[in-house]
Amino acid sequence: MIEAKGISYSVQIGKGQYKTIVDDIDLKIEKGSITGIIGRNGAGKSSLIKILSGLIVPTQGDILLDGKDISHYSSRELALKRSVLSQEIPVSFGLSVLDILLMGRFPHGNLSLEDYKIVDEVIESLNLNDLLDTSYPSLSGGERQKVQFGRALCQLLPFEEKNRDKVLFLDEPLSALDLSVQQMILKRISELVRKYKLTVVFVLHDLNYIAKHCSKIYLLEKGRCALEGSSYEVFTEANLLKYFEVDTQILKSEQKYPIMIFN
Amino acid sequence: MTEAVLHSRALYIKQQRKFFRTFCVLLVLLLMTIVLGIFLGPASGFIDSIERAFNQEPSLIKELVLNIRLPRVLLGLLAGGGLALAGAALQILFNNPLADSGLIGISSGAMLGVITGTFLLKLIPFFQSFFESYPLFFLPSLAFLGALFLGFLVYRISLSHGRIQIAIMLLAGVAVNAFAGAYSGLLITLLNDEQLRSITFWSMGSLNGATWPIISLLSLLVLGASSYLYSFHKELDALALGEREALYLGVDTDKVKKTVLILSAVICGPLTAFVGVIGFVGLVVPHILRLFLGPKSSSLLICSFLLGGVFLVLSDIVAKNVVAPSELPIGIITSIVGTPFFTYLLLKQKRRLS
Repeated sequence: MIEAKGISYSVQIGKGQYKTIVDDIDLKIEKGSITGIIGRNGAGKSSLIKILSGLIVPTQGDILLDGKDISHYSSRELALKRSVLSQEIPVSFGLSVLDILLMGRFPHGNLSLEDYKIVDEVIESLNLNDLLDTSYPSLSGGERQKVQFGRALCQLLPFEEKNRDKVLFLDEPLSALDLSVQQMILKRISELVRKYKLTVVFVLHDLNYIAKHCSKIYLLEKGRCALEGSSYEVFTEANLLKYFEVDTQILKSEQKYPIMIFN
Repeated sequence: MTEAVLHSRALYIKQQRKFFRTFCVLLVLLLMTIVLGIFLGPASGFIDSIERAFNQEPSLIKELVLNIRLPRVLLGLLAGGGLALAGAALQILFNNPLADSGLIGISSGAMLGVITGTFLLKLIPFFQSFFESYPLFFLPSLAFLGALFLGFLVYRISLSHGRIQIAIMLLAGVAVNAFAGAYSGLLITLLNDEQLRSITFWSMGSLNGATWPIISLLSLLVLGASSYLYSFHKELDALALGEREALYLGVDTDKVKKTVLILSAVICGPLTAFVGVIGFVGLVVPHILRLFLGPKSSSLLICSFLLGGVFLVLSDIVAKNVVAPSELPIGIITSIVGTPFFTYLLLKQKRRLS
């Protein structure tokens, strides 16, 4: 689905001085998988998401999306294949929740009855009915993120399209959300992956969620990929101490994934 | 199976109905303003002109209405409409309700162009002959170039890491306006008394010079550019989520941003060459409409054009009647209305940020 070969990204910080933010990363993301990207603040996780989703162009390396170089996609073609849920989206004008959801249909052209059906489906599944006519800036943080998640879904729906597999990128989507909204969004995502083989790429601080749901995990440190593998391979007491400087106890129960308790 | 009610569609239709109602009200207001603008003027009161129309001098009345009042009203509609619509679009581009062609250098850029042009006319015979053969095109073209240049400059200065810094935008506008003021002050001292008077009066705004050729030219430019700008309403809405999100939605943001700046200069530049600097229309009108309609560009742009026209023609009626037979510059009226508004918007932002 997504293949990145030797991607690097650096920015100029002064005369002749460059700072490398992403440093020679290879990765492979399978269709219908959930991939987790973890690491400490400033490790280059968000930049990696921006590169993989085509927002910024890497200074080196190639990204193949379904076998085709990502730079060969038009911005609209790309918008039909992937959507991105960012951390926080400030909106200066009082657009209504419905306006925001309908924006998700922008790449699909003029609004038809089909588009409204799709938007209604999302409204139903996220329980946004009562908020529809509310102005976005007056919502609480949790409600806003729910609406933006809805918009990201509106953009990708319908999930089952011929010759068009879809990817959802989530860049720390849950920071500062209360537990119920967090769980609801995460549950919906797992459902979509199971049902439609949606491909999901997560940047998340909640390591236990990553351990439970992600089939592949990339751990970044200072722009480099320090570790990759399954949750049992990545989440060991030694690794967590080395890369996160936390003392952890790992419970190995009958579950298929490790459970971490941070001391 | 009966068609299930689609909540999203039902609400969308409700929004459209509200837009349509507002549109109709504005249209009626517009027609009323046109009638008022034609009949109210220093040469004759309303009653007086009807009386005279029935009694004698029908040709004089016809002359007054057709060649003075009507062009003036139409110029007011085009200027007010264009400024308000450009203001609404610029506010989305700058992601802030405080943007306006007057504040971000587009108007003073046009002023710069016009004054440079006037100066060139005086100095270089070639320009003089050029101006005489194309009187409608020389100054407006320079005004467009000046508007584009300063507007783009302010935009570039206030852009930092892909985001518009509001404080920088306002300060860059102040700097650019101060520069334009100093530059025109410098050139103005080199002009003769008559030119000085006309430039000074022009720079404060007036619909006094309305003629049919000017109306034709401006109709073409303002209506053409406005319709083209309107065709970007969906992209503008997406830009209200910020540039990053718009890109994720598949909007070619670079193209949209450039188009909005260029079209705003096409609308405001030549217009300023004819009516002078008229501030705050683009600030006040979209703001009032957003309270009623919400910020969706499809309805906001159209209604801004209508209400902008109404606002400017009404301001002109005040400008030409309060100190009759003399006339107030119309820019003074719009500023008197606009500055308290601007202050109010600033205070509102302050509250939100703190």
